Amino acid sequence: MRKFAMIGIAFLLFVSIAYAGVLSYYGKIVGNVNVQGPIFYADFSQNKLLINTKPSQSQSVSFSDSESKFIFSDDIGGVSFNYKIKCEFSLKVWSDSENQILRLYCRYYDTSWHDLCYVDVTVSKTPTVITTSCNSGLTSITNVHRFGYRFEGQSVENVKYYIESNSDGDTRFQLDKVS
Amino acid sequence: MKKSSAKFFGKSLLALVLGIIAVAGLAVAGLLRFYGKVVGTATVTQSVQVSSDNNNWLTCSDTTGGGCTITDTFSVVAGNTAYRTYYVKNNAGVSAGIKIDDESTPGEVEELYVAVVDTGTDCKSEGVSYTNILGEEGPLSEILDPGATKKICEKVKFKINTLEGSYDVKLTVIPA
Repeated sequence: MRKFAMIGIAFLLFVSIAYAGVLSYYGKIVGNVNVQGPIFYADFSQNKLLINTKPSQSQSVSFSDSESKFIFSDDIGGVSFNYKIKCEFSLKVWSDSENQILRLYCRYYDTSWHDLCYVDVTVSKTPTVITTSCNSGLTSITNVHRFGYRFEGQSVENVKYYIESNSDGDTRFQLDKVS
Repeated sequence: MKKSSAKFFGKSLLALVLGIIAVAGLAVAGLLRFYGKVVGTATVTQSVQVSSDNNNWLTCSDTTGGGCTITDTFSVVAGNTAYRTYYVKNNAGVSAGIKIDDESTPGEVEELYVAVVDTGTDCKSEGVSYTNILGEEGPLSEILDPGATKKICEKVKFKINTLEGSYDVKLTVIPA
Protein backbone atom coordinates (compact mmCIF):
# COMPACT_ATOMS: atom_id res chain seq x y z
CA MET A 1 0.00 0.00 0.00
CA ARG A 2 2.81 2.34 0.99
CA LYS A 3 4.62 1.51 -2.21
CA PHE A 4 1.61 2.54 -4.33
CA ALA A 5 1.31 5.84 -2.46
CA MET A 6 4.97 6.59 -3.11
CA ILE A 7 4.60 5.81 -6.81
CA GLY A 8 1.52 8.03 -6.99
CA ILE A 9 3.29 10.98 -5.37
CA ALA A 10 6.27 10.54 -7.67
CA PHE A 11 3.97 10.50 -10.70
CA LEU A 12 2.19 13.70 -9.64
CA LEU A 13 5.53 15.40 -9.06
CA PHE A 14 6.69 14.40 -12.52
CA VAL A 15 3.48 15.65 -14.13
CA SER A 16 3.67 18.99 -12.31
CA ILE A 17 7.27 19.50 -13.42
CA ALA A 18 6.31 18.76 -17.02
CA TYR A 19 3.31 21.13 -16.82
CA ALA A 20 5.41 23.92 -15.30
CA GLY A 21 7.47 23.98 -18.46
CA VAL A 22 4.50 24.87 -20.68
CA LEU A 23 3.58 28.52 -21.19
CA SER A 24 0.18 29.77 -20.13
CA TYR A 25 0.85 33.07 -21.89
CA TYR A 26 2.82 34.16 -24.91
CA GLY A 27 2.58 37.68 -23.56
CA LYS A 28 0.52 40.19 -21.64
CA ILE A 29 -0.26 43.79 -22.49
CA VAL A 30 -1.10 46.10 -19.61
CA GLY A 31 -2.39 49.49 -20.63
CA ASN A 32 -2.15 51.93 -17.76
CA VAL A 33 -4.70 54.50 -18.86
CA ASN A 34 -4.94 58.00 -17.43
CA VAL A 35 -8.57 58.98 -17.98
CA GLN A 36 -9.59 62.64 -17.99
CA GLY A 37 -13.10 64.00 -17.80
CA PRO A 38 -15.00 64.75 -21.02
CA ILE A 39 -14.43 68.07 -22.80
CA PHE A 40 -17.27 70.07 -24.33
CA TYR A 41 -16.07 72.43 -27.06
CA ALA A 42 -18.15 75.42 -28.13
CA ASP A 43 -18.78 75.54 -31.85
CA PHE A 44 -20.70 78.70 -32.70
CA SER A 45 -20.72 77.85 -36.40
CA GLN A 46 -22.99 74.90 -35.54
CA ASN A 47 -24.42 76.60 -32.44
CA LYS A 48 -23.71 73.58 -30.22
CA LEU A 49 -21.26 71.97 -27.81
CA LEU A 50 -19.12 69.28 -29.41
CA ILE A 51 -18.18 66.33 -27.20
CA ASN A 52 -14.42 65.74 -27.19
CA THR A 53 -14.09 67.23 -30.67
CA LYS A 54 -12.66 70.64 -31.53
CA PRO A 55 -14.49 72.82 -34.03
CA SER A 56 -13.19 72.80 -37.57
CA GLN A 57 -13.45 76.59 -38.02
CA SER A 58 -13.54 79.85 -36.09
CA GLN A 59 -16.75 81.69 -35.38
CA SER A 60 -17.52 84.63 -33.09
CA VAL A 61 -20.78 85.58 -31.43
CA SER A 62 -21.74 88.78 -29.65
CA PHE A 63 -24.43 89.95 -27.27
CA SER A 64 -25.08 93.07 -25.27
CA ASP A 65 -25.43 94.09 -21.64
CA SER A 66 -27.22 91.46 -19.57
CA GLU A 67 -28.14 89.30 -22.53
CA SER A 68 -26.77 85.78 -22.80
CA LYS A 69 -25.66 83.10 -25.19
CA PHE A 70 -26.45 79.43 -24.49
CA ILE A 71 -25.27 76.34 -26.39
CA PHE A 72 -25.57 72.67 -25.47
CA SER A 73 -24.43 69.22 -26.50
CA ASP A 74 -26.18 66.38 -28.27
CA ASP A 75 -28.03 63.84 -26.14
CA ILE A 76 -25.57 61.55 -24.32
CA GLY A 77 -28.28 59.10 -23.35
CA GLY A 78 -29.20 59.58 -19.71
CA VAL A 79 -25.91 58.96 -17.92
CA SER A 80 -25.12 59.16 -14.20
CA PHE A 81 -22.08 60.98 -12.89
CA ASN A 82 -21.36 59.62 -9.45
CA TYR A 83 -18.83 62.15 -8.33
CA LYS A 84 -18.78 65.79 -7.30
CA ILE A 85 -18.19 67.69 -10.51
CA LYS A 86 -15.86 70.59 -11.11
CA CYS A 87 -16.35 72.52 -14.36
CA GLU A 88 -13.09 73.86 -15.75
CA PHE A 89 -13.89 76.69 -18.15
CA SER A 90 -11.87 78.20 -20.92
CA LEU A 91 -13.04 80.90 -23.31
CA LYS A 92 -11.65 83.37 -25.79
CA VAL A 93 -13.48 86.57 -25.01
CA TRP A 94 -13.36 90.37 -25.27
CA SER A 95 -15.71 93.33 -24.90
CA ASP A 96 -15.94 96.85 -26.28
CA SER A 97 -15.07 98.39 -22.94
CA GLU A 98 -12.64 97.42 -20.19
CA ASN A 99 -13.32 95.44 -17.03
CA GLN A 100 -16.73 94.05 -17.83
CA ILE A 101 -18.14 91.10 -15.89
CA LEU A 102 -19.30 88.00 -17.71
CA ARG A 103 -20.92 85.06 -15.87
CA LEU A 104 -20.19 81.51 -17.05
CA TYR A 105 -22.64 78.72 -16.29
CA CYS A 106 -22.05 74.97 -16.39
CA ARG A 107 -25.43 73.34 -16.93
CA TYR A 108 -26.99 69.91 -17.42
CA TYR A 109 -30.30 68.60 -18.65
CA ASP A 110 -32.17 65.58 -17.26
CA THR A 111 -35.83 66.39 -17.77
CA SER A 112 -35.16 70.11 -17.47
CA TRP A 113 -32.16 72.42 -17.35
CA HIS A 114 -30.19 72.86 -14.10
CA ASP A 115 -27.17 74.94 -13.20
CA LEU A 116 -24.31 72.84 -11.90
CA CYS A 117 -22.39 75.98 -10.93
CA TYR A 118 -21.28 79.38 -12.23
CA VAL A 119 -18.40 81.79 -11.96
CA ASP A 120 -17.76 85.43 -12.97
CA VAL A 121 -14.83 86.57 -15.10
CA THR A 122 -13.58 90.05 -15.91
CA VAL A 123 -13.35 90.83 -19.61
CA SER A 124 -11.08 93.36 -21.33
CA LYS A 125 -11.03 94.91 -24.79
CA THR A 126 -8.17 92.64 -25.86
CA PRO A 127 -9.19 89.15 -27.05
CA THR A 128 -7.94 86.88 -24.29
CA VAL A 129 -8.22 83.21 -23.39
CA ILE A 130 -9.47 83.08 -19.81
CA THR A 131 -9.52 79.94 -17.68
CA THR A 132 -11.41 79.45 -14.44
CA SER A 133 -13.54 76.83 -12.70
CA CYS A 134 -16.49 76.28 -10.41
CA ASN A 135 -17.56 73.36 -8.22
CA SER A 136 -20.95 71.76 -8.07
CA GLY A 137 -22.44 71.16 -4.65
CA LEU A 138 -24.00 67.91 -5.82
CA THR A 139 -22.30 64.59 -5.05
CA SER A 140 -23.88 63.00 -8.10
CA ILE A 141 -26.20 63.76 -11.00
CA THR A 142 -28.33 61.18 -12.73
CA ASN A 143 -30.12 60.68 -16.04
CA VAL A 144 -28.04 63.37 -17.71
CA HIS A 145 -28.88 63.87 -21.38
CA ARG A 146 -27.06 67.08 -22.24
CA PHE A 147 -24.50 69.55 -20.92
CA GLY A 148 -24.77 73.25 -21.62
CA TYR A 149 -22.48 76.31 -21.57
CA ARG A 150 -24.10 79.66 -20.89
CA PHE A 151 -22.44 83.09 -21.15
CA GLU A 152 -24.35 85.87 -19.43
CA GLY A 153 -23.40 89.56 -19.44
CA GLN A 154 -23.58 91.28 -16.07
CA SER A 155 -23.36 94.84 -17.29
CA VAL A 156 -26.19 97.33 -17.08
CA GLU A 157 -24.32 99.73 -19.34
CA ASN A 158 -24.14 99.75 -23.10
CA VAL A 159 -21.54 96.94 -23.42
CA LYS A 160 -21.01 94.37 -26.13
CA TYR A 161 -19.37 91.02 -25.39
CA TYR A 162 -17.62 88.86 -28.01
CA ILE A 163 -16.77 85.17 -27.69
CA GLU A 164 -14.87 83.10 -30.24
CA SER A 165 -14.93 79.37 -30.84
CA ASN A 166 -12.03 78.08 -32.93
CA SER A 167 -10.11 75.05 -34.07
CA ASP A 168 -7.77 75.36 -31.07
CA GLY A 169 -10.72 74.61 -28.84
CA ASP A 170 -10.17 77.78 -26.80
CA THR A 171 -13.81 78.03 -25.73
CA ARG A 172 -14.78 74.89 -23.83
CA PHE A 173 -15.31 73.32 -20.45
CA GLN A 174 -14.07 70.05 -19.03
CA LEU A 175 -15.63 67.97 -16.29
CA ASP A 176 -13.31 67.10 -13.45
CA LYS A 177 -13.84 65.78 -9.96
CA VAL A 178 -13.72 68.04 -6.95
CA SER A 179 -10.64 66.91 -5.04
CA MET B 1 23.81 -30.55 22.86
CA LYS B 2 26.28 -29.01 20.45
CA LYS B 3 24.97 -28.11 16.97
CA SER B 4 26.86 -29.54 14.05
CA SER B 5 27.68 -27.34 11.03
CA ALA B 6 28.86 -28.33 7.52
CA LYS B 7 32.50 -27.66 6.77
CA PHE B 8 34.16 -27.17 3.40
CA PHE B 9 37.92 -26.93 3.26
CA GLY B 10 37.68 -26.10 6.89
CA LYS B 11 35.32 -23.19 6.37
CA SER B 12 31.71 -22.98 7.23
CA LEU B 13 29.15 -23.34 4.44
CA LEU B 14 27.62 -19.97 5.34
CA ALA B 15 30.90 -18.17 4.84
CA LEU B 16 31.32 -19.90 1.51
CA VAL B 17 27.92 -18.83 0.24
CA LEU B 18 28.57 -15.20 1.22
CA GLY B 19 31.88 -15.31 -0.56
CA ILE B 20 30.27 -16.57 -3.76
CA ILE B 21 27.66 -13.81 -3.65
CA ALA B 22 30.34 -11.18 -3.17
CA VAL B 23 32.33 -12.47 -6.14
CA ALA B 24 29.19 -12.57 -8.29
CA GLY B 25 28.39 -8.99 -7.31
CA LEU B 26 31.83 -7.82 -8.33
CA ALA B 27 31.47 -9.65 -11.60
CA VAL B 28 28.16 -7.93 -12.35
CA ALA B 29 29.62 -4.56 -11.44
CA GLY B 30 32.25 -5.16 -13.97
CA LEU B 31 29.80 -5.53 -16.87
CA LEU B 32 29.00 -2.46 -18.99
CA ARG B 33 25.53 -1.12 -18.84
CA PHE B 34 26.17 1.55 -21.46
CA TYR B 35 28.49 1.82 -24.39
CA GLY B 36 27.93 5.57 -24.11
CA LYS B 37 25.51 8.33 -23.27
CA VAL B 38 24.35 11.24 -25.38
CA VAL B 39 23.09 14.24 -23.42
CA GLY B 40 21.40 16.82 -25.64
CA THR B 41 20.90 20.23 -24.05
CA ALA B 42 18.14 21.97 -26.01
CA THR B 43 17.69 25.73 -25.77
CA VAL B 44 14.07 26.28 -26.67
CA THR B 45 13.14 29.64 -28.15
CA GLN B 46 9.64 30.80 -27.37
CA SER B 47 7.51 30.21 -30.44
CA VAL B 48 5.30 33.29 -30.19
CA GLN B 49 6.53 36.60 -28.79
CA VAL B 50 5.05 40.05 -28.30
CA SER B 51 6.61 43.48 -28.70
CA SER B 52 5.55 47.07 -28.27
CA ASP B 53 7.76 48.37 -31.08
CA ASN B 54 8.33 45.48 -33.52
CA ASN B 55 11.94 45.45 -32.39
CA ASN B 56 12.31 44.38 -28.77
CA TRP B 57 10.65 40.99 -28.42
CA LEU B 58 9.76 39.78 -24.96
CA THR B 59 10.42 36.27 -23.67
CA CYS B 60 8.48 34.82 -20.78
CA SER B 61 10.57 33.97 -17.73
CA ASP B 62 7.79 32.05 -16.04
CA THR B 63 4.47 30.51 -16.95
CA THR B 64 2.32 33.39 -15.75
CA GLY B 65 3.50 36.22 -17.99
CA GLY B 66 6.65 37.26 -16.15
CA GLY B 67 9.19 38.81 -18.51
CA CYS B 68 6.73 39.03 -21.39
CA THR B 69 4.43 41.77 -20.17
CA ILE B 70 4.22 45.02 -22.13
CA THR B 71 3.34 48.00 -19.95
CA ASP B 72 1.88 50.85 -21.95
CA THR B 73 0.92 54.17 -20.36
CA PHE B 74 -1.36 56.58 -22.19
CA SER B 75 -4.08 59.18 -21.64
CA VAL B 76 -7.59 59.34 -22.96
CA VAL B 77 -10.55 61.64 -22.43
CA ALA B 78 -13.67 59.93 -21.11
CA GLY B 79 -16.00 59.22 -24.03
CA ASN B 80 -13.14 59.16 -26.54
CA THR B 81 -11.62 56.15 -28.27
CA ALA B 82 -7.89 55.44 -27.96
CA TYR B 83 -6.00 53.31 -30.47
CA ARG B 84 -2.88 51.40 -29.42
CA THR B 85 -0.49 49.27 -31.45
CA TYR B 86 1.55 46.22 -30.47
CA TYR B 87 3.21 43.38 -32.37
CA VAL B 88 3.25 39.58 -32.29
CA LYS B 89 5.47 37.18 -34.20
CA ASN B 90 5.68 33.45 -34.71
CA ASN B 91 9.26 32.19 -34.57
CA ALA B 92 8.29 28.60 -35.29
CA GLY B 93 8.44 26.81 -38.61
CA VAL B 94 4.83 25.78 -38.21
CA SER B 95 1.63 27.75 -37.82
CA ALA B 96 0.78 28.90 -34.32
CA GLY B 97 -2.68 29.57 -32.97
CA ILE B 98 -3.13 32.42 -30.54
CA LYS B 99 -6.01 33.91 -28.62
CA ILE B 100 -6.23 37.50 -27.43
CA ASP B 101 -8.54 38.11 -24.51
CA ASP B 102 -9.14 40.71 -21.83
CA GLU B 103 -8.37 40.25 -18.15
CA SER B 104 -10.16 41.97 -15.26
CA THR B 105 -11.38 44.86 -17.42
CA PRO B 106 -12.68 47.77 -15.30
CA GLY B 107 -16.39 48.52 -15.52
CA GLU B 108 -15.60 52.03 -16.77
CA VAL B 109 -14.51 50.60 -20.12
CA GLU B 110 -17.37 50.86 -22.60
CA GLU B 111 -15.69 49.21 -25.59
CA LEU B 112 -12.61 47.04 -25.99
CA TYR B 113 -11.82 45.84 -29.49
CA VAL B 114 -8.77 44.05 -30.89
CA ALA B 115 -7.65 43.06 -34.35
CA VAL B 116 -4.61 41.28 -35.81
CA VAL B 117 -3.51 42.85 -39.06
CA ASP B 118 -0.51 43.16 -41.35
CA THR B 119 2.23 45.37 -39.96
CA GLY B 120 1.68 48.02 -42.63
CA THR B 121 -1.99 48.48 -41.80
CA ASP B 122 -3.20 51.60 -40.01
CA CYS B 123 -5.27 50.57 -36.98
CA LYS B 124 -7.60 53.52 -37.61
CA SER B 125 -8.36 52.57 -41.19
CA GLU B 126 -11.91 51.54 -41.97
CA GLY B 127 -10.86 48.21 -43.44
CA VAL B 128 -9.70 46.83 -40.09
CA SER B 129 -12.04 44.12 -38.81
CA TYR B 130 -12.17 44.44 -35.03
CA THR B 131 -13.47 41.88 -32.55
CA ASN B 132 -15.30 43.10 -29.46
CA ILE B 133 -13.60 40.98 -26.81
CA LEU B 134 -15.86 42.31 -24.06
CA GLY B 135 -18.90 40.89 -25.80
CA GLU B 136 -19.90 37.45 -27.01
CA GLU B 137 -17.50 37.68 -29.95
CA GLY B 138 -14.41 37.42 -27.78
CA PRO B 139 -11.75 36.24 -27.39
CA LEU B 140 -10.07 36.86 -30.74
CA SER B 141 -8.53 33.72 -32.29
CA GLU B 142 -5.87 33.99 -34.95
CA ILE B 143 -3.48 31.66 -36.77
CA LEU B 144 0.03 33.02 -37.30
CA ASP B 145 1.84 31.63 -40.31
CA PRO B 146 5.38 30.30 -39.82
CA GLY B 147 7.75 33.22 -39.29
CA ALA B 148 4.95 35.79 -39.58
CA THR B 149 4.94 39.12 -37.77
CA LYS B 150 1.58 40.84 -37.28
CA LYS B 151 0.31 44.01 -35.71
CA ILE B 152 -2.15 43.90 -32.81
CA CYS B 153 -4.56 46.83 -32.91
CA GLU B 154 -6.35 47.74 -29.69
CA LYS B 155 -9.29 50.13 -29.57
CA VAL B 156 -10.50 51.16 -26.12
CA LYS B 157 -13.23 53.58 -25.15
CA PHE B 158 -14.07 54.70 -21.62
CA LYS B 159 -17.59 55.68 -20.65
CA ILE B 160 -18.25 59.41 -20.72
CA ASN B 161 -19.07 59.42 -17.01
CA THR B 162 -15.78 57.79 -16.00
CA LEU B 163 -14.29 59.37 -12.92
CA GLU B 164 -10.95 60.98 -13.69
CA GLY B 165 -8.15 58.63 -12.67
CA SER B 166 -5.87 55.80 -13.66
CA TYR B 167 -7.20 52.46 -14.90
CA ASP B 168 -5.52 49.25 -16.09
CA VAL B 169 -6.74 47.60 -19.27
CA LYS B 170 -5.15 44.18 -19.74
CA LEU B 171 -4.87 41.93 -22.78
CA THR B 172 -3.49 38.41 -22.73
CA VAL B 173 -1.95 36.64 -25.70
CA ILE B 174 -2.32 32.94 -25.02
CA PRO B 175 -1.80 29.70 -26.93
CA ALA B 176 -4.97 28.69 -28.77
